[in-house]
Amino acid sequence: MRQFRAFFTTIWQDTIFYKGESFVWLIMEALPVLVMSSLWTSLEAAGQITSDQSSSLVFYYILTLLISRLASTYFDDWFAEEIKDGRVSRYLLKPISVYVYIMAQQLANRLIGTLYTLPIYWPTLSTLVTFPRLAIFFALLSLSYIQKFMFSWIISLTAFWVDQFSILTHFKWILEGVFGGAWLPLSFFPVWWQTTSKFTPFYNWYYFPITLLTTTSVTTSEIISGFSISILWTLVLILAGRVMWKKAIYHYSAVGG
Amino acid sequence: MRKYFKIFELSFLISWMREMEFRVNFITWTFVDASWTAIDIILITALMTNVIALGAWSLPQALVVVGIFRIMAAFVWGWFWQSFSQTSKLVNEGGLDFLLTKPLDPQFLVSTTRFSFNQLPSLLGGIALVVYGLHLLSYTPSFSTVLLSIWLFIISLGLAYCLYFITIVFCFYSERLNNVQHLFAETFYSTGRYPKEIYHPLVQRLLTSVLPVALIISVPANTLFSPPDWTTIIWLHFLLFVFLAVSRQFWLVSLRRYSSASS
Repeated sequence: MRQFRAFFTTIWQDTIFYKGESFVWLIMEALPVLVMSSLWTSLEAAGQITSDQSSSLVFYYILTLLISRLASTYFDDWFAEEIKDGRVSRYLLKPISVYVYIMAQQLANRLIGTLYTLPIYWPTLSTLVTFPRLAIFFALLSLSYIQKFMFSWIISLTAFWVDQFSILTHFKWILEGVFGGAWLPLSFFPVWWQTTSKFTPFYNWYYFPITLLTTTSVTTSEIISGFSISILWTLVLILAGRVMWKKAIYHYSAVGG
Repeated sequence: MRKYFKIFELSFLISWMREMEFRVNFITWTFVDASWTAIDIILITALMTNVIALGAWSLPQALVVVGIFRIMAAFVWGWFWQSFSQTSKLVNEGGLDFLLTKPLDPQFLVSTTRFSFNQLPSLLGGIALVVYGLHLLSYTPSFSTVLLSIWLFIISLGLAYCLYFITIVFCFYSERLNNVQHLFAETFYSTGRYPKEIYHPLVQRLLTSVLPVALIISVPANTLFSPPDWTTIIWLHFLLFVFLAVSRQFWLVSLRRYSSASS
């Protein structure tokens, strides 16, 4: 815990010092939300969707921004570069946990990012449905954070064996976009697509938690099944991450310092 | 001037040789680009099957727009991104000295350091989408319309260069801004595929004047399937001249802030 606090404080200060970078990340995440919100509002004005549909879609995109700000991980490329260039040795030689370091780094960045956009969510969250649903939403969010963390971890560990690790990051974005509903709600896709999505981990990253908050049609059995699939994926990814790390360390060799 | 063309050609050839040297890398990234092209088609189709029109665009027209967007993306990612993604690091770590001391314009060097050819699926997929969209519209544009659209595409490309370059120059004003190359790329990706009519009138004005990303794709695309809007076309040319002058001045003024980190 002391290690975590020390890393967290250092990275927190670093992020505050280099505000410019945080600002650029913020614009990049907020822009699609603003564009899509404009799109739904214009479709409502053209009479193509109802006012209720429009506000629920705008709400959907605000919540994707909240999820993205709170539960995304962006260390895949950075840690893979550390591995590729042999700098990972410093994490292995020092008495620190690499998990703790990356977790602290990611959480500090995410929390600062969320604070910047709090004025956008606050009015939205304050009008939200009952407490139990909000609690379930955050529980699902915690599970999806662990899954995203392990996904990034597994992707970066591939750098121990191959050079083309970055393509996996692109595929992760594509999958979370099309099966998670990060770009367009899954209700816009065919039914078979939605059914397939339910069995992927991505479904619980965006679409399901948001649907849980924005509609009342989600049944208890759907919540239980969503949770079960999410827990299963979390366990599978943790296991895969641990096995890969063990194999990677066994495989790794470095020369010089 | 001939020297600049020669250097451009050499830089282009060296980039191609680099791509061919690391062929697995080239093939895998080409696959990634093909996937992004497919995703754009899936998303626009999913959206358009649920709504009748997007602004003034029907599904076939939206496909033409996405086609032009993919062709432009090939240049934005294959050229601008490749060259500009190094600039911020060069400025922050003092590596710009290496370019400043060469007997060539540093803006030219910064803008032509590297090219990538794995955006070929975007280019080919984009052309195919334009043809398919026009086929769905049962419309064959005249030769002069195609020429006009290609000319407007070149003007838009110039405008995209200026806008991208201006965002990159901001790295002179920060201690560390290593992600600044994402700023234009993301703005282009988010806003480029939709008609300007979807925005609030005030935002529309902003996206067609101060930050004219809304014109980059829509003007060459609209020309292909609707009568040319000469006011907008003249406005696009005017904007190019303004942004060429602004980006050049901004670069020169910002360059004065640069001090070498070491040698």
